[in-house]
Amino acid sequence: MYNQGAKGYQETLLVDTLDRMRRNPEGRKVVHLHLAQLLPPNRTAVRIKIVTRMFRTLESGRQAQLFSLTNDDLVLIISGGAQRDVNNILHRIRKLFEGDPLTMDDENGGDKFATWYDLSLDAAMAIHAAQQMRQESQTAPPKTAAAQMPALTPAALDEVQKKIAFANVAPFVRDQVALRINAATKEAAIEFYEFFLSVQDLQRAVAPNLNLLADRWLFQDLSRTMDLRMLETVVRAPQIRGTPCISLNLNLETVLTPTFGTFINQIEKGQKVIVEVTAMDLLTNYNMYLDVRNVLASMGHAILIDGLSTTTLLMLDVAGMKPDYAKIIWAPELLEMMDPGGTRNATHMVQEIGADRIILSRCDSPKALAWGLKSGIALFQGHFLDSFNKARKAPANAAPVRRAV
Amino acid sequence: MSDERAAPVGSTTNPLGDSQEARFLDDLKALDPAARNKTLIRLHLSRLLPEHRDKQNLRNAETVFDELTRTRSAWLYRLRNSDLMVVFERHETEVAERAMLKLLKLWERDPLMQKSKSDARKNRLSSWFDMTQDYDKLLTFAMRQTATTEKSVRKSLPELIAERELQRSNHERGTPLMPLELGKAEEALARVDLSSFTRRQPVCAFVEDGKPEVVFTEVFVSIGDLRETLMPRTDITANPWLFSHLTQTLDRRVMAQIARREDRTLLRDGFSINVNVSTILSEEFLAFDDDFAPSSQDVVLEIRIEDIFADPASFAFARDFVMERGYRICIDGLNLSTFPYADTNRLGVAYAKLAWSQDMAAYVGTTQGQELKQMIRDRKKGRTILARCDSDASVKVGQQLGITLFQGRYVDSVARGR
Repeated sequence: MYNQGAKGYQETLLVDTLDRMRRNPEGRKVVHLHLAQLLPPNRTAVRIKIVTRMFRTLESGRQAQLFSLTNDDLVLIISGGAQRDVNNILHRIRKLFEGDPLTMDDENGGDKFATWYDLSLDAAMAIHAAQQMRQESQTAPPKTAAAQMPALTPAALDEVQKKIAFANVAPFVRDQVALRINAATKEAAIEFYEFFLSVQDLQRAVAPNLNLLADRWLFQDLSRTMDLRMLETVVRAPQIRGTPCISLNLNLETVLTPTFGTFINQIEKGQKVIVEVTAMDLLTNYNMYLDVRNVLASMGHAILIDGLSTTTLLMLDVAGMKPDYAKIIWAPELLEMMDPGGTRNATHMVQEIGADRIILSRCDSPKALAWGLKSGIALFQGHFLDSFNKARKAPANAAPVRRAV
Repeated sequence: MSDERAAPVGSTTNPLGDSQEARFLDDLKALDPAARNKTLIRLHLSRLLPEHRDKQNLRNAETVFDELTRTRSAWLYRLRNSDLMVVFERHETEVAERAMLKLLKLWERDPLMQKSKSDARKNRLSSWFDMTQDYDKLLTFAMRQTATTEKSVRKSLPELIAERELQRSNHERGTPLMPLELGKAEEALARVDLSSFTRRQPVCAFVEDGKPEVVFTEVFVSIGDLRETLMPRTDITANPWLFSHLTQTLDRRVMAQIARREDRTLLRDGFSINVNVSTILSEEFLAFDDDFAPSSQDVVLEIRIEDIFADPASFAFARDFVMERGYRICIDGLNLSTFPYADTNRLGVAYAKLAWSQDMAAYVGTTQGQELKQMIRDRKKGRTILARCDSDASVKVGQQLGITLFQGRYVDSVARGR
């Protein structure tokens, strides 16, 4: 296509084309898709290509001319007759990026995703915008794709695993509090501490030139080793002393290792352990999940299904898995999933699982907390609450928050 | 997943008898006093001679009550010792007695029948209970039964760990795949001609008269054969995560092979391939799509359920993209435990593929069977495929559960004999 050529080639071509058309617009329109503003995980090269591909039929029918800009934005000049087709395609693209804030209207109901220009009316504006984009493209630093760290490979995984097996992982252990918040009094009490290994810090120490998370399956295998090391370390960590309840991110398989057996024998009497597992692990090892859930329950411990996004909730019958806890990731779209009759109703999903079993995680605002409380949820996690917790700890009133001693 | 692309990880240990005992207790508890105008027969199948207690015989004991279970006038529960509890509406007593007589006749040679083989009620094969009068007795029995179940089946943590360690050290299937070996295997794969490991197996619709019609043909790599050649001493599926990594490499190779268009019939009749979500979102797939965006033929993409839930947002993106391009999606690798979670309505896909297992035969006529059937019926947006069918029994059971699409060695043989 056009994409080879000098810096800002597409932008220059766009400016020239628009300039040629201004005298004879023939009902043409321009639409600018602000793909550059997608969240990074949505903005991969392949996804941008997929979007471009959706206009291919229109392009080959000469009803649309496509410009792929340096910053990943897409500009189309379309003939008057193609308006409806383009609208349809845009609708489908929005659906592809449904979860991305870019496809949601801004506070004033404005569209952040696409800007339209009618060449018969706003040619000057369109050209001005194109000129600006051309200028930006020429001053933009070259793409940093080359700077990305290489992904983990099977051979590298072997090395990293050996390193982790002997490394002191104590400095990488992190904890985050989960709070029980009383809906009426807004008082908070500590429910449990979640312990996990910081992958970022671990990476810096054992594989500074590798992206450990880039390959899902290899990372998953690596996490088996990380689990064992964490169990050995956490049991000696000063933070867990006197904490009535702790949670750990583990593979199901790890629960059935001698290392976990030793861990359970070493924790304090009466200390409750919540094992956090992923839906993926559970669906891979379902019968193991049943064994693990039952055996943990028989010892007074519990199982938690971690990382449930709104997308997962819509697709998966989490209630049917009968976990002791389920951790839902807070997202603003939960606010929109309140249509009482709709199949996407979040309150209904919460009730199905049981509001008392749910932990709303990654709470980042009062909005998140308010939504959770309104839905009957009492357990919360997130940076916003970490500070909430600290603030409430101030000795102004009789401290309602008691950190476990 | 096809016959050969089996993932034996976490094999099913579903203790069927136990779960039915639990259900028996639940159903008893839920039974309204007003609805107790029922009769219960306990069939003491455990008292039969062992040679009269094989699978076929036990199944006969269930099918003889078909007339009642079909219309939901009777419910069957199998106990751990393979005794069968039959609960039926009192007004159906005559039908039940007829069924009993059939069973007495079936086992007339068994010493158990020596004294009484012509009285449906007075014989050593069965005990009859009145649900109104004997309710408390039955409830106590059911509670005791499930209580011992919990104790005997639910293992302690040390027991589970010991069991798992034993499994880990049992290298009958080879030593578990390790990262270094995986790397070598993937390098070797780049040089190997995969066509000799590629298999195809049709998914067929069985219409009323039993003639199979090919719906599409799955193209897949025989993991067993590949392992024999590349790493005969390795248990390639022991580690599900590393195995998943390997499948990504295989996905790409199969796509490349199909792109060579050596098989015209395949392209004409429609086919399916196994892919990871990450494969769909790769340059290689876009190249494949350039050649094969489905137009007239059906192209089905088979995705494993754990891959979907590894990153549901990416799956949703990939799904909407490929559906837009005319592909269909099949959820692959399901067993009786995971099938309930592969809801085609919620996932927005065309097919869900359930692997046949012997346990399913025992489902027919039970509450669990009814639930499974209802589930299959409710999933209007996608159809269920019963895979790994190795006998006509599997197809029959599938049909009784409302399944119309089948795959497996038995289906191959019928399709060939067409």
